[in-house]
Amino acid sequence: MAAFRYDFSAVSVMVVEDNDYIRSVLFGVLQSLGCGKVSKFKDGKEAVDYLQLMSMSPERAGALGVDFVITDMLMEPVDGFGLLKWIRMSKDSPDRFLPVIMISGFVDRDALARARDLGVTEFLAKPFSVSSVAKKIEAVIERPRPFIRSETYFGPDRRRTRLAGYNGPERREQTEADCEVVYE
Amino acid sequence: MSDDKQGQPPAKPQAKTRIFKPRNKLKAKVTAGQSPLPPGEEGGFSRAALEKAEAELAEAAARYAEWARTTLDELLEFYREASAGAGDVRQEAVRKISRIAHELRGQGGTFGYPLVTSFASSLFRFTENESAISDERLLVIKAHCDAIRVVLLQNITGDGGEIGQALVKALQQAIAKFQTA
Repeated sequence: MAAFRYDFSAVSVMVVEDNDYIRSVLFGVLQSLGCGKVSKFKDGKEAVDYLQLMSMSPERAGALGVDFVITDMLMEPVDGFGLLKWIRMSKDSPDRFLPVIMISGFVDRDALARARDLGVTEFLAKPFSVSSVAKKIEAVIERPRPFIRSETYFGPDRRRTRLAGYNGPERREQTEADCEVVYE
Repeated sequence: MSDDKQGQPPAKPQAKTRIFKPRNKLKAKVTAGQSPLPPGEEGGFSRAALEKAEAELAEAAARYAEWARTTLDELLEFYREASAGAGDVRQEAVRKISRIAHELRGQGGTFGYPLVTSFASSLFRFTENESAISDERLLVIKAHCDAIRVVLLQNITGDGGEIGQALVKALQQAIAKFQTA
C-alpha cells in the first residue's frame, strides 16, 4: 500500500491531563508535530462538557470538532475511564467512534484490561517520548480496528491479531442471525 | 396468529453482535491532497515535524527540575502533615503523597530523570492501599521523599553516577531495615 506524508494542519486534538506541566508539554509536542488545533482540558468533566457542547451545536461542529483524544488516566472528578465510557456509551456523545489514546504511568494489567474493556483505541505508557507519541498516533491512523457492539461491549475490536495461518472469513460474520456488519 | 401481526413479515431476530466498519476520517484528513510517496519511502510524520517535537520536549526537560520543585514542596508538606497527624488525617496525607508519587514516576523518565521515576515508583508501591500507617513506615516514606529531593535540587539526570548509586543504596537499606523490623 502506498505511503503518505501526514499533514495535520486541519486536525483538532483534545488533550485531557490534570498535571499543568505535562498538559503544556503535550500541547507543545502536538503543535510541533503539526496539529492545527490542540485544545487543553484539566479533567474528564471539562472534556465531557465540551464534547456535549459539540453534540448540541451541530452547526458549529466544524469549529468545535475533535478528531482524536489523548487523555490521562487518573484525574478528578472524572477520570480517563469515565471520559472514555462517556464517549463510547453516552447518547450525548458526538462521535462514539472517536479515537481515544489513554496515557498513564499506571500500567498494571487491571488498568490495561479496564481501559481495553471500555473501548480504548491505543494505550501510551509514561514516561513517553516523541517517538512513542508519534507511533501511537500512526497506529490510530494506519491500523484502525472495526468496532464491535455486543451485549457487553462497544468499542474497537479487542482481537488485535488474527490467528496465524487462518485465512477464512471473520468467524463472527458467519451466521446472519448472530452478526450484522454495518459500514458507516 | 394475532390480527395486528397479519401481513407483516416475520421480525428479523436481533443480531447478537454488530461489527461497524467506520470510514477512516482521520486518515482521509491527514492525507488529503497528498500524493503517494515513491515506493520504499516511509510515510507518517515528516522528519522535520519529529525533530521540532523533540526540540520542544528537550526544552521542557530543561525546565523540569525547576517546575518539579513545587511538586516537591507539596510532597514534603504532606509528609509533615502525615507525621504530625494520626488516624484519618495521616491516612489522607499519605493518600496525597501516593498521588504525587504516581505523577512523579510518570514524569521523571520523560524529562531525563530516571531516578525520580525509580524512587517515585517505589514510594507509590509503599503508599498505595495502606490503611494503617505506622511511624516506622512513615520513616521509609521520608527516606523516599529525601531521595527525590536530592535528585531534583541537585539536578541529577540519568543514573546519577556515584551520587545516584549512593541514593539508591541508602533507600534500599531503609526499606530493608523496615521489612526486617
